[in-house]
Amino acid sequence: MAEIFALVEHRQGVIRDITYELLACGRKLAEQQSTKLTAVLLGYNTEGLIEKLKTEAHRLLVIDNELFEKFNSETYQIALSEIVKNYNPMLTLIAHTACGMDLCPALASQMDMPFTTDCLDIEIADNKLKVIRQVYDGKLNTRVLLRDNPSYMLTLRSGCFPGGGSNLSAEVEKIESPVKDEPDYRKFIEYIEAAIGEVDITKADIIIGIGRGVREKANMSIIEDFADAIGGVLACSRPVVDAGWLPKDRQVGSSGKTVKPKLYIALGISGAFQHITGMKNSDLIIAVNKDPNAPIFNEADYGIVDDLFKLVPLLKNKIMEMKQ
Amino acid sequence: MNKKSLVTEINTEIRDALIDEGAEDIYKCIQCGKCASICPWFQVGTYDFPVFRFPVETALGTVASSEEKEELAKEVDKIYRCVGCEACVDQCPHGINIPNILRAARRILVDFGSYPETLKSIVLKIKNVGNPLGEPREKRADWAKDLNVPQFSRDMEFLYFPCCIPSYDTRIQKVAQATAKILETGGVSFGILGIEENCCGEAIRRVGAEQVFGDVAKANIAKFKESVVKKILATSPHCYTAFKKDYAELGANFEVLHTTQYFAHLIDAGKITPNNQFNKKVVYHDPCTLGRQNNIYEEPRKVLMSIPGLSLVEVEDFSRNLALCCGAGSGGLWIDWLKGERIADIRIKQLLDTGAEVIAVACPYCLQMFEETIKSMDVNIQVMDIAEILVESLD
Repeated sequence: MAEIFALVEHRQGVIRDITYELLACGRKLAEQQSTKLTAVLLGYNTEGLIEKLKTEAHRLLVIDNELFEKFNSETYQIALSEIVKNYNPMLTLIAHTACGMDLCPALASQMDMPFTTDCLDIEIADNKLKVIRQVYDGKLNTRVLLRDNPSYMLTLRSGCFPGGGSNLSAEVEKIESPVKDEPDYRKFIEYIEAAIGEVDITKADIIIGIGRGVREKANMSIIEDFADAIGGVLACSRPVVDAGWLPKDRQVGSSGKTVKPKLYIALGISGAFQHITGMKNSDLIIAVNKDPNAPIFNEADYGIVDDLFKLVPLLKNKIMEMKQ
Repeated sequence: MNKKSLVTEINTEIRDALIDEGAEDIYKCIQCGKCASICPWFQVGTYDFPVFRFPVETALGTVASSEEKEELAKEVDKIYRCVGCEACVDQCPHGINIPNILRAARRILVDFGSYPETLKSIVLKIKNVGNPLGEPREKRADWAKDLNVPQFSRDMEFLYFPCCIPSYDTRIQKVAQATAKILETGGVSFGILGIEENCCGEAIRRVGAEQVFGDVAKANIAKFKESVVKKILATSPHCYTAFKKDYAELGANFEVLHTTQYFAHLIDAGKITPNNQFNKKVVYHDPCTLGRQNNIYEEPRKVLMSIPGLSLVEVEDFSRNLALCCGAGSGGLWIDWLKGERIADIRIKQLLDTGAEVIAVACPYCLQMFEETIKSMDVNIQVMDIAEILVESLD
């Protein structure tokens, strides 16, 4: 039975979390298909990385060459196409990240291989590959059947397979780099770090939305402590931006951002429709407001009619207790 | 020294496209500047909006003509600053409709998809689910579920049309509920379309989305005809003006009344009698779309003055045709200008200066704009729709 391959993604000497998810997915499929999982590591001075990956796969295929210190999809494509040609895996898993999307479509196209992106789940039955991926901006999941082929390639969305918990012992196989020079039409120049402090609220799983009920800036520290405890980011309705307590990029609503976190806690937000439009599709909404008639309660899954300053410190303490 | 040429070449392509889209008034402009003296942006004073220049810029074809991305974004922002209050139209010695000139530019921007994202979203939601909030159609009649409001049938005199925000927003639902109670008390024969109702499309026409508006309007006209609707009662002056003026351009001919007009009639005819005291000082804010644009000034005041105990005051200098807009028209409801650049704040200050305890409005947009902006103003004044005040005074 042909093997399953997964490409290790690393940046500045650190293996990215998505790699462990890819490997977890690969192990599950390998077990089902009674085959083995190979992690492919393209890097430079890879000893540290190899140590971290040893328990994660049956085999580690390593190219250790200066050319692979930084990600360049062109060099990766040349190397991976050689590897796939020589080893014939049944499936190659690549992360659905900026790097993965730079690399995988071109590679699949070059090798004339059935390929799909941003998969949430993968199923192999009767030698056919089925994946689940989303359409219509995440409103629907579709099951996609790939055309029959001895080998497939796909990118996997992060957060779909919990990584870790593996105790395999990989055999390490080092191979020569098939690439000798970085192509002159595409070169790695530099890493540019995102400015610290900027938070993209649309990416957060837990959002603490605050409104005029916070009353004054001095009260922000109570809310910030609570957000830290629960691991959430702060967002707000318009009056909070007007008052200058949070920047405009934290505003949720029709003229701000649309968010869809797993949990949205609305503190002291009455719920004008401009705000509701931006958060009503959150998975779970908890609203706290003194006014029992506040429109936010119509959107909330759970509502608490009380003073948020009584409730929030209690909640924070409870969360801290649970953490210990 | 500025070496930029002072001579501008006329871009006839842009000019002709704008004239085709309805900017034909431009050559009447004599650059007197009266429009600028009344424009809400002049009263706000923190944003440069030279309204008198739009006819000339259109004639030169320099509207939204920048090829530099940031400059173009600024021009688009400017074109979407007009709130369509028509105070300029009211003042213009030649009756030039400047909002229509800007609408021509908006139509072209919409065709190219180069208009504000927040407005794209409301156009799409109206197209897909018939309301700008993106709420499901099945919930459209929820406001009436605890009331005894019947589905409209051909033997009824009136179709009551609350439209989107009074149907869905739980605060503004109270206006639709109050209206239904008043009509019921008056023994009026009326019904609603309920979940079959669709947005009137007024706002998106003024945003420039002519095609979606056309589809929405034609579907509504067909629905009204199929249901044998003859008279429509509208809570929102925006629906009123859509049915009366915009739909008329498509050949429709329905009799339309704003709810305040009909409330005044019910009081005159003795069908309803405000009995309960409303002992408060009330200032009436003329919605642009009701007053200046449809000449309905008296009936809302008449309803308020018929309520025992209510003391009605007027905004000095800025009342009736000179009333300042709330800032919600022509898409303004959805665009969030920065604090310090909000028309509603200026209007609230004018209304507060009267010493009133309550601002009475006759438009869901004004109600929403005022209540929202007050949240950031640290002032104490209540905003109520006339229907809400009236229903309290009925037994």
